[in-house]
Formats: sequence, structure tokens, C-alpha cells
Amino acid sequence: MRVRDVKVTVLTATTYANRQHSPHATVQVSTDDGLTGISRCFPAHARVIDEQLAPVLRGQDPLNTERLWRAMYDVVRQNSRLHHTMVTAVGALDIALWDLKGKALNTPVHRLLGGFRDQIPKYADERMLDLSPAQHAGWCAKYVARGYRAVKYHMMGEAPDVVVETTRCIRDAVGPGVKIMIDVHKMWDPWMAVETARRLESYDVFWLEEPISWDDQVGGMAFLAANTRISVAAGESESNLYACRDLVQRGGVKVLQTDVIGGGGYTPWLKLAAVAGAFHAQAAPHGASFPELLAPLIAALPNGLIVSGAPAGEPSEIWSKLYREPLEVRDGVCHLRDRPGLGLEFEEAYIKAHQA
Amino acid sequence: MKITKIEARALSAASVTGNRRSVHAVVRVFTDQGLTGISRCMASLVPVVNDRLGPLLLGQDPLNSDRLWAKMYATVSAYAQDAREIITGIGTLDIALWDIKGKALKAPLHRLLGGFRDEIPAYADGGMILRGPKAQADWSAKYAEQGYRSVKYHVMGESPDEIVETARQVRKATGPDVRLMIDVHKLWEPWLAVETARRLEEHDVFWLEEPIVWDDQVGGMAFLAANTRISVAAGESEINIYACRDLCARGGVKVLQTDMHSSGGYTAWLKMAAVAEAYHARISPHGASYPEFTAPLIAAVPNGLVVSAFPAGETSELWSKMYRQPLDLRNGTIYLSDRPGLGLEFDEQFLKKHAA
Repeated sequence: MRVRDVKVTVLTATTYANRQHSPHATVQVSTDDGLTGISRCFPAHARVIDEQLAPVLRGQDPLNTERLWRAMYDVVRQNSRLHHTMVTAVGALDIALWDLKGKALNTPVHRLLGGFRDQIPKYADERMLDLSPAQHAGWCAKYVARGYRAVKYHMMGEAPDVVVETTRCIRDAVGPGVKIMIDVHKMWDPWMAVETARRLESYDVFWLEEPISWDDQVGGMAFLAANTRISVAAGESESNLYACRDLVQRGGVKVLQTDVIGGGGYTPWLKLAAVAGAFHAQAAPHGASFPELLAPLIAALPNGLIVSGAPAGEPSEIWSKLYREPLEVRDGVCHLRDRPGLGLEFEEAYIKAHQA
Repeated sequence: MKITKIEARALSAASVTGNRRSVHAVVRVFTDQGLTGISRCMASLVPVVNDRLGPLLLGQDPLNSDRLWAKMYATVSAYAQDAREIITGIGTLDIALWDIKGKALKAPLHRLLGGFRDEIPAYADGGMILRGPKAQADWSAKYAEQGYRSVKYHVMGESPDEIVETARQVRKATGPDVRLMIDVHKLWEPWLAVETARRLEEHDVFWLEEPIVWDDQVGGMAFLAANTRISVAAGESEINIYACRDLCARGGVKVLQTDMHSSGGYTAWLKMAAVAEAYHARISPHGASYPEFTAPLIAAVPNGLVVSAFPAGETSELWSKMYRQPLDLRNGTIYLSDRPGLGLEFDEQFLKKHAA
């Protein structure tokens, strides 16, 4: 089996009611014996894939995932200034290759990647601007009523007092036993992080995501982790194994969140998960736009924790519309199907209607 | 004393003959006492200096270096996509503020910054123009004859064999007492770096600069440093003190080279130099175009090593042409002047002739 063609289709931004969300793109890698592996990325990756990475894959056996990943990564190493964009493009292709591998071997991807379990919880997550504490709480309670056992909200620059008040309202609304996560978007310096985290402890916050400002990620997170009971979650900004190693080994990170495509796809994520496991950290890859790509990976890993993703029907999501039979999420749990590969087929009518 | 005006102005591309991609700019910070601080940067930074950072300084006392530095640094955004640009702008302005401080206190900058010595050696930086062992050897020999006791050449993707051959010819041409530095531009992975470094040892290479590919800078340099006698030099890609701390503390870096501008200027560099000293590392800030700015700092601190410089008359340098009395660089040694501040005045005729 050989790779014959690599195709990226850019979708329009008008797919969404809410214009703050970025447009998407679909990826298809087809072979000479009629199989097609699918994946997704963003329009910014189309050119890198077409011009620099597709030529690496054409004519190669798609089952050699490590060999092809390395060949693509060598291209990245020659363009290190663009490494984040390029590794993300590699990640999108790597997932399509795993889909092909699953189809060729007639096995679901979550089983190929490790097969630890067949279902995995998901949390409800949507980035929203200008919500009051009561509105945040109402949004979370809605999804808890639908079965979700974990909710995440995004800090958009609020003062610590507002963050504490929002958390209090959410805890009040969802009751005990529901996990509350807070995405801090790198807004705190280490001292402010410690002071705010200690105030949040009384509301039983499950994790603080990217709590530390950009300039001392590893040192700052280690400082926070040593001074609060709340778990530190991070990694979405990293695009290689070595930076993630430092987060778990020295940064006190308990939940590794490297992006599912931004980290380079499933091939490196198997290694990231192994490194995380060696330091007792759990894996919850970033990628709220792509729960269908996250779920097979996280379900497969012994230290897989939980799947991120905007619930079906939220303004930013297309995962529930893009496929003929989308990922099955019931009562806040993803149920992996027994179909080969990712088990997904693009809904051609949707793509046609939304093609850029 | 209060800052009244900030003015960054681009020069024409033709101000630097033969290197039209590098467009320079001059910066002035005016005060209500009639003192003016000068600096310069690349023209691409003019909007950052004039529009983003300049307004933060208006009405402030220019002598409060650390206070103003923190005020500017606080504007670096959470996701820091433009962090390098902003911090380079901060560095540009910080240099002008120190020039004002020196003039206000009637002290030469190298004495205000520490005053460890009044002269400091420079090395001749070959830039990225020379190609092939013979051209490198001839160039190095020319400047060794003019008194330079150290020379640097750049790896531009040559094979290890060619690099070793270049080192052999440069060593032969310059004799045994000239220090030979090689800038690897992050082209080697850790194993290739160790193997090549060991072959270079017999030609007595003084440092290998940025020897390791982008993805594991700290770990890869530690691996190299533990396996060669040649000093590892690095830091020009880093834009904050924490990353530089890790290079020295864990990366085995013996020469810290954070850029004169993108470090954040003198205020930031004084701290970096102290951190480097705590790990027995020496400093040689990156910035071959700006020896007039790096020399006062390197002369001032006990672990100052050597000043990077494009020799006067080389195609890409301006430092010898744009001031009335330029930096005094004779026989490979820089003699710091006793004039207040940087001790430099722009040559208005040069600026007029090369105004954009």
C-alpha cells in the first residue's frame, strides 16, 4: 500500500454563529488501493501540508508511522522558526495515517493505540466572553443536568476576586462531586497563582490549566504545584517531547495537555503519555475542537484522564456536524465504536456547503 | 526629570551597503532637562518603539530604570506571540534610558554598570557572507594580522567534514594563539554535535555557538557540554531571564549570549550576568552590529568575556560610520571612553544622507 494523494479542504469561517472561532480544514490521505485516512487541521496548515509535507508522504507505505513521522519532523527541523505551525501540520497527517492503519488492519484506532478502555468521560467546555459568575454557573449546571460530571470555564482576564466568585457560584450550582476546571490562559505570575489557588481550594477545583505567565512556565508551575493542593494542568503550548518532559519532571504538572495535533499527532503522543506516566502525570490532550480525534487516544492510554470538547450544538463546534455518524457522546461519556480506524466518514454535503 | 518625547526613525536601506535586507533605525528619548538618550534598532521595530512602548514612558523619570522596565514588560501579552518584538523594543529603549542616566549623573556607562575594566577585547565576526574553507581562512588571517585575537565563522549547512576542514585551515592561517569560535546556527542534533565537536577539539576551537537543534536546547546542550572540551555558547534566542537561568544551570552553557536588544537591554542583562556568574558562566551578548552598546556592559561586569563585532568597513556594519566619535576599537581591543553615558553623538550628516 502506498500513499497516492494528500488533500486539504479549507472550510469557511461562516460555519459558525460566533465569529471568534477560527475556520477549520479537513485532511484526506488516500492510497493506491482505495483506502482514505481522514483528519482535521486549520487553514493555516494547508500550505505547509501541500508544499512541504505531502511530498514526503507520497509513494510511502502509510503503515510505517514512526518512519514517516521522523521524515516529516526532519522537514520541521530545517524550518525551526515555524516549528509550531509545522508540527501541527505533521500532527494532522499523522492522525490520518493512523486512520489508514486502522482501516488497513481492520481495527479501531483506540485499540491499535493501546486499547485500555472503550469509553472515556468528557468535560463540557466552551470559551465565552463577558459572562457573569451567575451565567457561567447556569451554563455549567445545564450540562451537569445532561449528565456531564466535569465542566471547565475560561478566565478571560478577570480579577482574582471575580474568579473566586465565579467558582463559588459554579460549585453552588453543580453540587459536590462534579469536577470543576479553570483555564487561566497564562494570566498569573507565580505569586498571584499561589494566592488565588489557595482561595480556590475551598471550592474543590480539580485542575488549574496554564496558570503561569509565559516567561517561566516550568519554574513558575513548579512553584505553584509545591504550594497548592489543586492539580496543575499544562502543555498545550508545547510542540515537542522534550518540553513536555520538563513540564512533568520539573514543573510539577499532573495533567499533561499537549495538543493532539499541535503535539505532532498520535505517534508522539504515545511517547508523551509514557513520559507523563513515568512521573505519575495523567494525559488530557488539548483540542476542544476535535473530541473525535482525542477520544480514541485518551481511551487507549492507561493514564488517559478525560476528553475535552465543546458540547454538540455549542457555537464553536463542528465535530457533531462534520461526519455522517459523529463521535457518540451520551451523558458526558464518549463511547468508542468498534469500526476500523477512526470509524468516521465525512458528511460530503456538509463539506460542500461550507467549502471556502 | 521627565521624559517628553520618544522618536524612532528608520534609515534608508542603502545606509548599509551590500546588505539591503538589514534596515536600521535610530532612536532618541528626550527629557524636559534638555538631556537626550540615544539608541538604535532595526527599522521593523519603529512602530513598537514609537506607538506601543513610547507612550508608557512619557512623563516618567528616566532614572527609574527597573520601574520603567517592569512597566514595559507587563505589556507582553499572555500568549506572547509578539513577545520577542516587544522585548526587543524594551531593550532598545532601555539602552537610551541608561544613556540619559549616564549623562544626568555625568558618568560613563561602563562605570555605572559595574566598572570592572576600561578596555575589553573584541572578536571579528565573519557574518554569513563567507563561503568555503579558504575564504574563511583568508578573512580570519586578515583580521588576526590587524590585531584581533579571536575570530568567528558561521556554519551555513556545510557537512561536518567541511566544517572540520574549515577549522583546520583557519587554525593554520591564524596560528596557535588566536581564539576560534564557530556559530552552528542550531543545525546539529545532540549526537552529531558530540561527534563533530570531538573532531574539532584538535583544532582548539574556543566555543561552539548554538550547537543544538531547536527542540531540546537545554537537554541537548547539557549532553554536548558533558561530552566535549569545547565550551558551549548560547542564549541569543532567549528573551527572558528564566530561560537563560536554565541554559546556565542545566544546559552546561559556559558563555551566555542573550542578545543586547532582545534580552531587554542593560537592566535585564545586569541580572542575567549575575545569574551566569552564579554558574561560572561568562557573558558575550549577541549583537555584532552593535559593539558600541555591548562593550560598556561586557567591560563593566567581572564575567564579561569578549565583544562581538563586524569589523569596521565590513559590509553590514554601521557602528563605525554613524557617530561623530565612534567606539574606539584598535588592534582588536575596545577602549571605553570617559564621556558620560554611551559617550556617543549621532553624526547628523550621516543620518540626513541616509534618512528613509
